[in-house]
Amino acid sequence: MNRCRDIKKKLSAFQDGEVNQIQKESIEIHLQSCRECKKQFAAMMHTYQSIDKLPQIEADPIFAQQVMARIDNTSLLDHFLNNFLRQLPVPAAMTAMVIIGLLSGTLLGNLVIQNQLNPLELSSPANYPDRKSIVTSLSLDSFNTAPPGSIADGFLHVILGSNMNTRNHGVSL
Amino acid sequence: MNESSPEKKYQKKIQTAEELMQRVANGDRHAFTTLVQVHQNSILNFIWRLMGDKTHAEDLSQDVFLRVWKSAPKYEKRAKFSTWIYRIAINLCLNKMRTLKIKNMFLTPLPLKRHSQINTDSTTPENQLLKVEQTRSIFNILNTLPSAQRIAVTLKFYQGLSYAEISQILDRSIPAVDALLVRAKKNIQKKIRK
Repeated sequence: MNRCRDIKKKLSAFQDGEVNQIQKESIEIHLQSCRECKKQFAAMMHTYQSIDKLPQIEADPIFAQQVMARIDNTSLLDHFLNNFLRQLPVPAAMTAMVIIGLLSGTLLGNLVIQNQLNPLELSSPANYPDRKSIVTSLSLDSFNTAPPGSIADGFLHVILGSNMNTRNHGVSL
Repeated sequence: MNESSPEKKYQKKIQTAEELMQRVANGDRHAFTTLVQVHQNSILNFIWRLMGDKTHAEDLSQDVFLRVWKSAPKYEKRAKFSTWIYRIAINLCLNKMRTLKIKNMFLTPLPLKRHSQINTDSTTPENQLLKVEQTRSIFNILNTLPSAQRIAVTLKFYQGLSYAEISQILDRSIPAVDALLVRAKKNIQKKIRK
């Protein structure tokens, strides 16, 4: 029984020709006398028979040329990408700086003149100016080089505000 | 052992592949073309048996050689070329299988129609049909195996590699390869009985 167990463990390797000569002879002798192991080996042989007869397929006659063509295309693409990536940092950095400048300028402008930008958002209805005066005021703003709400206006406020503070400090000192 | 024995020829073929790879590593296109021509059918059939689809096999075979060309400078002379190229093929096949598995989750899988386009030597339409049916039933059996078992069976049974070579390709011990094949054979038996 133990003998059968040892043989069964080696049957797959035996089938694949992966046992040494001594093991091979031993298994062959055992299979002649043991019906159970013989049956298992026959089933194992049947597995390979069932997946046998898979035909061979042939590569395209121009397979090698196709591969070479793909290599050439890939090389060109790699070359282009390498060059592109090498030159990319400078324009990317410049674009990023411009975008950051515009965004921070807009944010700063909005923060400084937030109250002036929204004349209708007044604290109480009693303080509401009439519609005509608001329209007139906004229309006149279009002739202004730094109309309220623009980046230029915000910039002037920052500069003038800091000058005023300096002057005030100067006076007080 | 005489000069023309299969072992000697095999050794010579391996040496030739390694020598070719040395030249390929230096950008020798002619050497690479020779290498492709020598191994194209072996790799194509290996991938076809793993994937079960001729179109995928053709595309992946090209990908394998493309990878060989790109990785040639990294190729170590000590490594067997066949081991190296089979590893590349297996990795690409497993990646493709994963992609197809994800795709099949969303799409209805197509029937195995590409098998009908396989050239058979049979002359009569009946024989051709029989061959196509045989191929289909074999792939139905192989498809039921887990990928590791299927790779082991393909390398052993169809490519005729030894356990030692398979163990190098799969990076497993020889007893592990043996166990893998035993399990594969049991699974095939179960499938046949159904």
